[in-house]
Amino acid sequence: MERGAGTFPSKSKEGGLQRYRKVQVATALFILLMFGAGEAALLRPPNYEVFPFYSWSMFALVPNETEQFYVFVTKDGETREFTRAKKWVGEAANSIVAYTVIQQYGRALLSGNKNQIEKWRRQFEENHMPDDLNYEVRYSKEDPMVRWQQERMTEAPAWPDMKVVGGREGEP
Amino acid sequence: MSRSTLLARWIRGARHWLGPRDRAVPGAIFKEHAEAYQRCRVLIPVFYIFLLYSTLEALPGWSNLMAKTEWKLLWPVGWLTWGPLREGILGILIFNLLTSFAASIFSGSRVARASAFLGMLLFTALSNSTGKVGHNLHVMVLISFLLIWLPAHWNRPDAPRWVRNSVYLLVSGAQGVLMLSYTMAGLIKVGAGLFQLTAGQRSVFHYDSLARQIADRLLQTGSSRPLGEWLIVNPVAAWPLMMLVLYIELFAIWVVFRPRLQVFFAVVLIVFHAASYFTMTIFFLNHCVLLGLFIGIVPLGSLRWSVRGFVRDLPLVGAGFVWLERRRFV
Repeated sequence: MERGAGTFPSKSKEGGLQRYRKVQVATALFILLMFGAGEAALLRPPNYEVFPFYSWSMFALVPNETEQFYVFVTKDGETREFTRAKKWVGEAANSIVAYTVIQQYGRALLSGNKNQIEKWRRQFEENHMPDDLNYEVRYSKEDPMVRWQQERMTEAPAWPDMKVVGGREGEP
Repeated sequence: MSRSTLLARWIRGARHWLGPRDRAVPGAIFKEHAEAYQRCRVLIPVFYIFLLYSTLEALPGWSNLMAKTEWKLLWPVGWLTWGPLREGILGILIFNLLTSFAASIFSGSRVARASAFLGMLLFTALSNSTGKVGHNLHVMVLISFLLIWLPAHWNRPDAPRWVRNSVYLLVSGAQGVLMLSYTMAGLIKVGAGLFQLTAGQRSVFHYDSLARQIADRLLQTGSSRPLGEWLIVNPVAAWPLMMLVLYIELFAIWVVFRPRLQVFFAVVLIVFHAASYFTMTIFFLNHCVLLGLFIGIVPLGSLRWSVRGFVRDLPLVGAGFVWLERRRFV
């Protein structure tokens, strides 16, 4: 019988064993590649991945005093921090994607790299910020546990002193 | 000796070293493989049905993806800039839907499996080209790549032994891909922890490490989670959980070689993902299902279960237990 007629391509024991060995070696190599490429991706911040191989470095560093960028949104004279402005910016307020873009935008503003600033500004404004809102990007260094105490454990959240690094000022 | 034979020997050595301590019955492994093959024949089509489910679940998000105008395209979808963007995006979404549907019906066909991999790769790349890369789908992509290489006629009941063993091996490889992702996460946590410890910072080894992670995440997204908030206020309660997760993550890859541990590790990891949702709003649904399918429901291997055998198989803990056994302390 021919191969297409329903028999298996390697009828001999040796041929089958050879094919099995190939599968065994290829599988092991693929897993080693996943490990090697993933670990090598640690050299590629900020995503730490060579898609689709990831370093799985999520939550590796425990947050101590870290730099944080905030967006403060202004509408009709009222100012709100981005995550508390859901009625203006919608679901983006609680989106980790929006948070990540804000951090990248903030870092670009702080570094002064014009290409990066423009790239991340567009990402932020086109995907997460309605056109009719003005905003400021502010920067601070803080400990999350202290911030938690200040923001969530008090009646009126207290914001630390922050440096303004960028933003958008439209027509009033 | 050829290079591939040398590698095969090295693999056998690694399997022996990583495997359970009491695999002594001659021929037992072949019986296990025969049983495991039957489970794999069910498992693989179920995997492709789940792939289709993941695609269908993403349907409500199509309009969001189509509406986006600013992209940070990952390399598999970099070609989208060559033509009209919206049509390209729609093309990828439809291609993924059709190929995952085809693979769920024709999982015996390599062309269908290869197309499903390509569809999933493109979709994962597209949905992560918005400025932040999520990692819920990465393992699905890698497993679907591995399963392309199933031998022809792999699902026939009269398949010869090399075909059955190859199927078993590739599903073990899929287990390896899944569990390696956790081991890598554990390794980097330990490495980063040692780095922070030497730098005089709070690290993963400190009692408040999990509380800090939860506080940071909830502040980032302005979210509320009662369990997470309780753990922030009571950080000591979170510390044993963090240490358990670190242990399970670090040694997850061992489980591929020690079937007695598989159900336990799968359950702990699924509970860990559920806990991440209830404390930090992070949910890896795909990982939960894959853990259930590949590790929990269909463990490959049928070593007789006993408490002593289970404890002996536990990495590190097992070595200590065997030491105590030898000195007749337990």
